[in-house]
Amino acid sequence: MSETRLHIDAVTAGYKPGFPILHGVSASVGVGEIVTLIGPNGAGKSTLVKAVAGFVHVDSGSISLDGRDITGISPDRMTEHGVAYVPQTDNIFRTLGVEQNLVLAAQRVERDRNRAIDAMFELFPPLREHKGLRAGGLSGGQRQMLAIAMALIAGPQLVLMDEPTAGLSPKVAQEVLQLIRNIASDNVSVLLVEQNAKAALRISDRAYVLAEGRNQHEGTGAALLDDPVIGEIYLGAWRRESA
Amino acid sequence: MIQSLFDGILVGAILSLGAIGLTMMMHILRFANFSHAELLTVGAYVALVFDAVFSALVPAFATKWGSLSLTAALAVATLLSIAITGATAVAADRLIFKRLRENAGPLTMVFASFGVALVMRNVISLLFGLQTMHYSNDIAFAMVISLDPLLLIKPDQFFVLILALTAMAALHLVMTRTPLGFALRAISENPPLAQANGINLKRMVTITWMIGGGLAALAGVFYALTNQISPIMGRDLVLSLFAATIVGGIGSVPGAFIGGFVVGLASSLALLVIPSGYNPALPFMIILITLYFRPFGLFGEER
Repeated sequence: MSETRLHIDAVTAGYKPGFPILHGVSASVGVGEIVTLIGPNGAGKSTLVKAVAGFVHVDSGSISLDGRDITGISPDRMTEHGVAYVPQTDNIFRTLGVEQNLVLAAQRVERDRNRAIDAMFELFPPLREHKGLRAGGLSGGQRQMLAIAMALIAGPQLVLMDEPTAGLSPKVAQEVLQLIRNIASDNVSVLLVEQNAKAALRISDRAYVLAEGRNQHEGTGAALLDDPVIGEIYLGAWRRESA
Repeated sequence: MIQSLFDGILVGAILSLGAIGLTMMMHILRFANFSHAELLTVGAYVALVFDAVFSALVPAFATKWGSLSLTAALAVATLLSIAITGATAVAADRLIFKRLRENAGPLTMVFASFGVALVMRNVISLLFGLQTMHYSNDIAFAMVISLDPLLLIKPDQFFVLILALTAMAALHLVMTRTPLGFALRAISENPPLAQANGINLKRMVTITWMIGGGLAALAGVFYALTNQISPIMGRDLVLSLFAATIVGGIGSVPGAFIGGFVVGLASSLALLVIPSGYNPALPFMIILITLYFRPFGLFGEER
């Protein structure tokens, strides 16, 4: 595995102190690595991502980024530490214009914000075409592009993504996953929660299987895809669907 | 008719100023703040105090500007009032609403806002008495704009209308052209996402209270300039402010702007057809009609 960027050590966390959803979960993400969290509904995948993003109270354990402890840091300060978070739903400001969304996200860029916005328009040409449009008027795929552009604009070291392909057509979902692969190739680490486990495992370097808020299995994306036990217990739905 | 239209526009501009702050607070903090109207009273009285202080300290400041009641003393006092009323709004939040927000539900905050309103109103009554007051005790003569139809406008009214429209245009530019405006809109639409984008929620809430309080102070001074100052001016305006907010759609700044004019014009024009005694019921009627046909107001969004 590459050099560790995110290290989650025995984290017990939940939405209310004393009512944990995660029970001593550990995981890590290397530099430029895509790590996917899979598991049944209620396994704590999104809660783990939110705990890293600072939205969920951590009762015990620690979360560190490049060796610095970021446990319990408020969500608005996570960006200073190089963490970007793309929520599952409502991940753009619908009432703001496309460019206004980017201007807002660019406020955490130290210098030359216009250049950072231009770089995102270069990366996502459809956003430039619609820059004057209200973001609520974008298509599902374009919304995800905007959400990802907002996450990338400040040059994060770690991007947390909660089901980025939810609600997208299979073709657009595939494009978004390819985009995530491209992001990681620039040495950006990605921690991903994805409903479409099969497609996500294909682009992932490694994955953790969670169940009932605990670590169950871990392995490379390819190994988990080929593991008949994992497939039957945790990925049964997609295996049957794809059969 | 023309006279009523002008009077309605003037009242509408003042209501819009007050309603903009109210709608921003309601949208971001998710509660109906019935003490907001008292900030208009606070603003009017703070300006009254500093007007007297500056006029006494620097007699040249007490000279009227042309045919206006306005003096340099009142202009500076108004600026101070905007800052102090904004700070009063922040203090009310820190002392009362913030604690309730963290430990209780929105309904508790609504009831608390009634309490805050009562405290503010009665403290002002204790300090200044119940009698009405004016910034200037000179008679303000109206200009005859037209004899047929008759249209009389006091210079103060014209000045207030222009300044209110300018203040709202400035706020509109801030909200639509600056990162601060984007951040305020972002916080009201989706607080967690705003935080994920590095926006400090507490700082934005403080700024919103400052803006709401500042605009309320301006509205209070303008109302006092064109009417009179009294401890119950906020109480008299609270329903009209809520009507303007609901007509425009909660959370919509342009909506509050339009809503203020709708309520102001409706109240003024209604005097032509219904006895003035029924006028206080008009905001209720406007609220009911709006909620019946457009539950989210003219510019509000389903949430």
